[in-house]
Amino acid sequence: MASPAMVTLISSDDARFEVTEAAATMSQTIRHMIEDGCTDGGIPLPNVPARTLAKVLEYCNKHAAATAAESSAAGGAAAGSDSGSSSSADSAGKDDGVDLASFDKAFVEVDTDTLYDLLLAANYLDVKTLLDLCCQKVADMIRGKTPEQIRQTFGIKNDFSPEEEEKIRKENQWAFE
Amino acid sequence: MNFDRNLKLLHHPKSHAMKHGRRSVRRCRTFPPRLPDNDDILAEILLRLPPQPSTLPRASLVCRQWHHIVTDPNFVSRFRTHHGTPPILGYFHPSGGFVNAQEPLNRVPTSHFSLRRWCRRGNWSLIGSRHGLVLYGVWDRFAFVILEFMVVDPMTGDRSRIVNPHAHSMTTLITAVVVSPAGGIDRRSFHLVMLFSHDHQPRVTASAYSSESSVWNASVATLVLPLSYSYFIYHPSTLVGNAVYWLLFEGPIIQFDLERHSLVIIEQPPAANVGSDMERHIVTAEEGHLGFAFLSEFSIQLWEREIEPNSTAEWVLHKTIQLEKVLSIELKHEHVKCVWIAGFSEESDVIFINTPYGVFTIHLKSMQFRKVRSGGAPHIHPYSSF
Repeated sequence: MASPAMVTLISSDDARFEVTEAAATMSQTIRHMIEDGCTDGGIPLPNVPARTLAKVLEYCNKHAAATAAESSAAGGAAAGSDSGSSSSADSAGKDDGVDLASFDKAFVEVDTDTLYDLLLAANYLDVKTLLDLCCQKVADMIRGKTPEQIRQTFGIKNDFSPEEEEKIRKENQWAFE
Repeated sequence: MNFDRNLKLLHHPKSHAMKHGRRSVRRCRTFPPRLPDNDDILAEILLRLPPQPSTLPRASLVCRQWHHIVTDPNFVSRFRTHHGTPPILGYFHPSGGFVNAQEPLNRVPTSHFSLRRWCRRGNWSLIGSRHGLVLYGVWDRFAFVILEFMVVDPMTGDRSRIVNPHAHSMTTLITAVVVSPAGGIDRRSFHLVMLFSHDHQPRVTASAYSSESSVWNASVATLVLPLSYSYFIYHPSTLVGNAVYWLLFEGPIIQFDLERHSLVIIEQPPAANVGSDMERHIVTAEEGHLGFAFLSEFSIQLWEREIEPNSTAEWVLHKTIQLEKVLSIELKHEHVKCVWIAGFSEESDVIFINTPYGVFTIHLKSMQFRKVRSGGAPHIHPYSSF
């Protein structure tokens, strides 16, 4: 079996990461750079520091491996020559799904600084599922909170004038009671 | 992989040192850490807040940036697209009164849905509601013809008034509907369709109005009813796919195709021919087919209009819902007159059943039910919105 194609990514602080092309191209930004042939000597990612890039790549490696396992399990099931092995491939596929969901859940159990860095990196690198995951995590932190609690949680300054705030509050008084 | 080795060599990068390509990003220096100051990311986050009516009003009060994002009509459209089915906030009685179906905090006050908010004068009445919009009509002083229509978005306060081009004494308005393209994702855009009859003849004509052109496409289709039917329609309409369906009083179904602008008669399932008006309702069947709910004793038969490969169509009994079993209630013979199909929310696939124990909603796929309140009206107009 041929060894998988590898690419080198260079973080903003010049750390080099060697990863499979399958994992790297979960990032649409990197995919486009590879397609444009900008891979000689490594792909520079001047907006992503090593600490964040390592975390993003942990996510991409896990998901790319799960996708590969899923497609090989699907291939095995499609061949269907040995019913025993195809059913075991099926159950392995299901386990991967559960495993991936719990991996994702644990992945965003991080401090808010790290979460925000991941958000920025996922946005810049355009890793859609990771951006979804991080955005949903922050949205879950917002849900159920009053506007004042939201400001406290996220360090947001209330920049409305008292009149403006009163006007908005009055328009939808029912939502704040 | 050599992450660990790399990480050991690295200093912890300070987050505010991280510059960003797409937009300039200001990061926090003090506790608590601030969210990335990036409208695109913030919009992505706010999009994923729960689809409840109070969500966006609450977010709008946080700060100017949040207010700016969540009140942008494009964001609101994206929020609706992201979440799909809006929650049922309640329903309108034919009289125009609103009944709330939400828990406190998401309970938009009934005053929000009051006609008096929009018109203090004139003989206005409710005609229907769909896609977060409510359609009213104002009668002339003899309550004979509807002179003007009004389409209101109670959640935003937007409203449009549209003059009825057929408002003369020889014309009778049979019914009218409002439909917003793409399921109400952008409610500023809507179509209005009315059915009317000339000289009390058993002939139905449709006219269509588009908010985009602000023009009535008058008399787009005409249908002659079989002699045995009158043209009265009391049921709220049902939108299935790209067509609106009405049940004629004690009669068959009328279909108006919104694309082709055609009017067609469709027979109801044979079993429903014996049913009264309150025992029948047009619903959406699985895979977006036309469906029909028929109350037989204390069971609801769900029929589906199946199109055969040779283009003929027939009604097939798809499912029977035993109300006592599904709702865990006991129904006796004397309750027959208290049980009826009160309405249907095509957006949520939920049917409203009136029982002696109150009005229940049943989700037609999951069979999940909820008691909404006690006592109901013959026909109700469910209202859904974010």
